[in-house]
Amino acid sequence: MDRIFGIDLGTTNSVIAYTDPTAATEVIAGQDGNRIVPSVVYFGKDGSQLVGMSARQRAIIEPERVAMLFKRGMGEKSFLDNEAPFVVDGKTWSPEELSASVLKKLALMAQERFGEPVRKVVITVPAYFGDNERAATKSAGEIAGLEVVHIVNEPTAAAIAHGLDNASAGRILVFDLGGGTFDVTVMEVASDGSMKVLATGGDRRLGGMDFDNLILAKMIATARQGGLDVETEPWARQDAYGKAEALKKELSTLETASTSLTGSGRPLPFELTRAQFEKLIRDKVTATEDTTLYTLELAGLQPSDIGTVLMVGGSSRIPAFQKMLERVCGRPPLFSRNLDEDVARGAAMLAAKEGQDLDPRTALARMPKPVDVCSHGLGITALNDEMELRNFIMINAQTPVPVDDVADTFNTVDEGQNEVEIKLNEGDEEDLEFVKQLGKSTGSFGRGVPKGYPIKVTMSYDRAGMIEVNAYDGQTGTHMCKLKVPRPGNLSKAQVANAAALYRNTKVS
Amino acid sequence: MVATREKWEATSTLPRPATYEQMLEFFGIPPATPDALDANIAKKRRQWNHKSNSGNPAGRAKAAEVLKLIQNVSQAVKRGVLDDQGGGAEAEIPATVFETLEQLWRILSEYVFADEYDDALRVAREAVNRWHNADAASALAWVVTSVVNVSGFAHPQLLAEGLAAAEFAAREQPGEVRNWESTASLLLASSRPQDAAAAIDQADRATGGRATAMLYLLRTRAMATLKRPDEAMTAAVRAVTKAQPGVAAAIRSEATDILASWAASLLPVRSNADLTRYAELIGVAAWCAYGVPEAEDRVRPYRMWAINAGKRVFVGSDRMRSFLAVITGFISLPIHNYLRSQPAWQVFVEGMGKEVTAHFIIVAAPAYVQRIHNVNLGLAFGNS
Repeated sequence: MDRIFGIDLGTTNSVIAYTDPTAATEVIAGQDGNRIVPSVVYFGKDGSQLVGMSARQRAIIEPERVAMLFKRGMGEKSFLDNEAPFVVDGKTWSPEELSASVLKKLALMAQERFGEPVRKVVITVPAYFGDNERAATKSAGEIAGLEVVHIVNEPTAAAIAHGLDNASAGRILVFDLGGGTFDVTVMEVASDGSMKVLATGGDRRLGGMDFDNLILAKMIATARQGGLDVETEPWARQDAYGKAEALKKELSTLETASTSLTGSGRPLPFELTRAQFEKLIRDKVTATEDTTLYTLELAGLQPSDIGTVLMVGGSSRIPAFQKMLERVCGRPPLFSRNLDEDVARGAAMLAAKEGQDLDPRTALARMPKPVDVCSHGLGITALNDEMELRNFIMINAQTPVPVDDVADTFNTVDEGQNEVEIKLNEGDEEDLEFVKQLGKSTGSFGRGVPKGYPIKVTMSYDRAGMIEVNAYDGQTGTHMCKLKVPRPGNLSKAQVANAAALYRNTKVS
Repeated sequence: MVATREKWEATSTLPRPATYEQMLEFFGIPPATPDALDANIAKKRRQWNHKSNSGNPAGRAKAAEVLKLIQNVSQAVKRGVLDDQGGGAEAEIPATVFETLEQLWRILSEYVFADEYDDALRVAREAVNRWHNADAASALAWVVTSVVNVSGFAHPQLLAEGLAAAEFAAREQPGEVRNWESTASLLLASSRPQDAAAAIDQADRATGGRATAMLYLLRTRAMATLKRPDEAMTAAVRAVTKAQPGVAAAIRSEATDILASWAASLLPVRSNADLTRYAELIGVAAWCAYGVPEAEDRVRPYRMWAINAGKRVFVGSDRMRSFLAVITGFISLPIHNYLRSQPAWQVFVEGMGKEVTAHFIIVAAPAYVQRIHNVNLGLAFGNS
């Protein structure tokens, strides 16, 4: 029986863990002793790849050959701010392929630990990731030669690792602020330990690296006033960025931190107080507060309804966020036992449940498996009473999957209308500007029908992620058209297969 | 699960400049009472923050712009309101940080260029409280003008404070052009274009004819607000010709925007007189835009309409025309063509909302025509 590993594929750091049949969980370290692997890939001139800390160090000297923060582009064509492709030696690397490099590195670490190849994994994703992003994550696993048994929400994994899978936990708010993404999830734990997600929210482009960039901007401005230019040379900027990150971390425990900037051949002292740092990130703190309150609103809850507030992710160490949560929820938050590793631990525990050799006497064996849910609403484009095009949601977010034949009736809008166009959308808003169209299909009545003629539309969503929409003549029941949309990813099946073949022969270390 | 969204929560635009009442309406006051301002700002911001994470990139971009607008407007409605001690928020800087005027300007410039307007206001007010002279007033007026120009919105108390400082500085230092620029700018922001124009005339006299490009630009805006096109166009041309090299592109771009926006407000053209005025404005706007690519791009579709809107389009029956032509030996053809044709603008205006005809398609199908008229007619070609 293949071992199944749990992987936290993070924006800035990734971790792999394994839970054995006795329910003991181990976070796996590499040969260098590090359990946390920076999600950074360096492309060597010989075609090999370096992943982790050594790749990150190369970013100072050869930034153009180093990829980082690619999780922000999962499900999209590019992860760079200007939407340009990431190209090295004439080849464009997609976020899926770069993630595959990290996965392959993690798999190698586990292989070295256990002496056998890794074949099956459970990978975590932010709770608000849509189908596109989840499919892209799965593609990344396939490219790395891994079978992705399950995609699990990060807050769920964190809550399980923290031991919140018991009825006393009640309603939980998980605040996950990592290196590149921010995730808020409101969950309810039932008496049998099963967890139900009530609402999710987040920001795919908010995390520790944004705070680093704010400090970096202040460093650059200060350096300029001191006659120092850290921007013209890539290595100087990269060096300053690393120092900005170090200052940020120091300010979680100290009131003042200092470093020296280098550029134009000379050093310049730079000091930052915690108060100054908190002023820099004030808007970001407000944004996370907004998201937290809005997510509670979506769940139909007040802050006082929350029994436990759990903070996860490295950036949760920043005191400003802890103070904000305490003020909003009226109680000090709990911290994940290991902010950087608990998501992977939780993923490993859930991976053990997917396997079949877990000791039935363990609490983990008795814990119900988390239910797959629809991460976002699914709807159809139609006209409302004011004749405005709107998204009509047929399957709400957080609905357990599979969903069979949810039905709704729509009507024709014109006299003599003889066809109808079905447009399927993913998103929770009525306004079409804020939803993503997944596909469309056209069906014909075969004749002109009067205005107000009924059209029956059914929608299904199966465990494999296939969404199927059917339209029927509302009076005769005749089938008009079908729209089938698999969990879309950015890469086609052929592209994934080609990439997987490439990766089989690519040296990753 | 979510409470029904109110209409004001979804509004995503606000005119510039906006009145204080319009800014409050943006945050749902009324129907809410003024003490609900903070809660409503937070409510609107939360909703748009959520939208900024939608799966649709265009939606995300729009939400990001609206969030910026919410920030600008919320700062404007709250900024500049003096507390009982005569200051704004709690001061973070010691009172002795500046000793000379040069130091004051350096500090204010740093704050303004770093978008730290609250700090800039605080320092400027500190200067006024300490020195009570025209130099300090001039600095305060400049800061207030910068705040208003960047965000486009301002609390009436802040406007009044800035204007008082600007007018005092202009009286005491009439040769200093900056004081007049602040005065005119703040008068315009206070919806007093007539007074702004008068201040600019006064500036020209007081400075011995050294009115700057910026002053002429402000005059262009004032005349546009007063709907005096000839004076607006004259002022725009003067602004462009007086502009120094370093700011010429910006002046040209701004002048183009003012005139093009005015011309756009005249659409759809409903008479030949309208067309003449529209074409004049666009002609001058195009001249202002010369050499500034983005300004040229902005004015191009309007210019195309100015050229084509007056062209005559045959709207009669082709069959009748052919018949008459044949029976009259083609003598009637040019007369018939003229009698049965209309200018393109008329075909467009009269055809809107009616059954689509071939003539209407000829005029209205090009994408630029629909874009400048803000309509999507779903015609067969040239549409996006």
